[in-house]
Amino acid sequence: MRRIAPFGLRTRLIAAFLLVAAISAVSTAALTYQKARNAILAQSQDMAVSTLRDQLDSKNLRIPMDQETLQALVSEFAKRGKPRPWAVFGEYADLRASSHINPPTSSVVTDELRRQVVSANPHGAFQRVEDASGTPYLTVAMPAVFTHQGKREPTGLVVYAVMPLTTERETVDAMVDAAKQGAVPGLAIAVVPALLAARGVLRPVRHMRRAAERLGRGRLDTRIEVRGADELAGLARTFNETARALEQSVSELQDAEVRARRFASDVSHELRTPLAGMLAVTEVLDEDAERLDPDTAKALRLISAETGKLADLVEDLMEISRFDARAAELNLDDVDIAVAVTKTLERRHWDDGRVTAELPSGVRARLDPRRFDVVLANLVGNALQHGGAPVTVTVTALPGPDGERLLIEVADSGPGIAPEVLPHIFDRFFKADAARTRSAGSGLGLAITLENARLHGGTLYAANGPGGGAVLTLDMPLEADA
Amino acid sequence: MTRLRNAAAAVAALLGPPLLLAGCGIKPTGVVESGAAANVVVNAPDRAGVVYFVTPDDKLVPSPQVDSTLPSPVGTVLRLLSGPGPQERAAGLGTRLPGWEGGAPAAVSVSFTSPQSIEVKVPFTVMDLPELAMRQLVCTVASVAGSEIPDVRVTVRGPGTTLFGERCDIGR
Repeated sequence: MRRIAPFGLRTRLIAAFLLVAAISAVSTAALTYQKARNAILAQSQDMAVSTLRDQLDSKNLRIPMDQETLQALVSEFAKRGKPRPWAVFGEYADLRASSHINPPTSSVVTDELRRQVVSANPHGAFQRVEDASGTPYLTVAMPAVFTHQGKREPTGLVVYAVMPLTTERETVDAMVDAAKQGAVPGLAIAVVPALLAARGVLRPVRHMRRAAERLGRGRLDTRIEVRGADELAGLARTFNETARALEQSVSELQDAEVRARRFASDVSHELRTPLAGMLAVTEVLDEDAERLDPDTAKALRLISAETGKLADLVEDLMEISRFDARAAELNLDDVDIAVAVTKTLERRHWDDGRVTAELPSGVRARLDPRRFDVVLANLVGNALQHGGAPVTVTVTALPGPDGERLLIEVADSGPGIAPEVLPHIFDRFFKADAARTRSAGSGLGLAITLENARLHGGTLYAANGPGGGAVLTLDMPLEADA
Repeated sequence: MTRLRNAAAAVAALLGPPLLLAGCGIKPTGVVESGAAANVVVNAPDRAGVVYFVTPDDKLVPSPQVDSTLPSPVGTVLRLLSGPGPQERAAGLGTRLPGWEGGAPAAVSVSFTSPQSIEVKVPFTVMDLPELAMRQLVCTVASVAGSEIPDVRVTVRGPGTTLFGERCDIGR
């Protein structure tokens, strides 16, 4: 039921939340990291530069220097490295001194730095470098100047301090680790509000889809609970209003239809009693027709025949009204299908060769014998009237997906049914030939047949056979349910 | 349009963090100047001149007069002309000026020709002097002028040639 669509709302919401969380986490971490790293490095650098300057400042020097003085100076400075121990190198003209035994000059002090501090107007300077193994170093160069006649002149002495930045690097790396460790749980936590938000959006959507499906199945009283005041609640409200309007329209239509059917039913009921009287009278008059003059007798017989048709029509109308009112009932009985078909044909006197029947022996069906008789009589009568003899009735019992089915095919030898007429032949009062407005039947025969078939849980198909004649097929379950 | 905006947002989202993280670790820098140089104390009389010698990598290095007696300007120039002493030589200092093996001191003279200029007379041709030697001479002479004259010009007079308006580029 709950599918995870690759680009569904839920996936997109989670992706968006994760993206936002990732961007904010990474940006915050990166900016914090940069600031903190620069602050740490700046502090170390400034302290190293100012410590070296402070130590060299106000020192009493005798120039030109000699090797011993230079060595002593360098050794003294080396003891006071800040913020961390450092190595100190002194350079004066040709003289080189180092606080370490070896080497006398540093391998990480660059020529760039050397050039910078031996200018005519030297300043203190530093440079961050990496040695061959990638270890970061801070190199500080501090030239010594002296004041002569109010001018500051370089003495030619430059003191270099070299300090490894391994501690700073560890601190910086620790910050990166902390940022990474903080970002992953942050992203995991971001999934929770994403899921909640997705739920908040998806639940109303799911409700609405179910409601729409119910509405589509005909449950017009379906309503959605309106919760909150957001866009989705507005949508739900609109849905409810639409459903209400739809329900109202449909119920008005149904009422109108019910009224129309009831009118037809009432009319046929009201007509039946006077018609019964008229039928009785015309029968009596028919018997006396021979004694009347021929014109009057002809008129009388016409009245009698039309009255009979009117009675049939009223009977059919009442029958179809019962179907419409769902008042039609099945009186089921076990019958031998071959016997039932034969009886129907005999009763209508159709056993004179115009109708041939192919009947299986010993097939028993559970159906309403009276209604089955009506159905079959209608189909065969229709075939004889509109198609033509010979008419073939084929009865077969077939296994189907919902139990065994009874198939009764009635094929005539007429010209068949025109394709444009085919979908309408079960409509009420439908006339295949528009010019022939008056026919022998009431126009309700096939409609009643279809209703009877439906009552048995079956249906009717109309088609044209390969030989050209019309084929009407009754398809109903062998065992009808009441 | 929306498609384009989405694509731009996606690219920004994908590229932003790596760009921010690109500056990870401790990166090497160029040379950064940081504050003044250290000011040391040299035990030399302020009035005395300073003699400039040359390091092996062609830089001028001062050698202040540390004697207790105040030498004359000529004395200072003579000390320059006689070349580095043993201590200077031990430190690797040298000179680019031509040798002057105890010639007559009268051949050397220093005199103020105006409040802003000072003239030195040397016993060798100044025309062909290397630039470094010239700077040695000019700066040494300029140093005897004293602090009262801020921007001193030096005239160098040799046999046959005189160079006017030389200035020393050392010191502020």
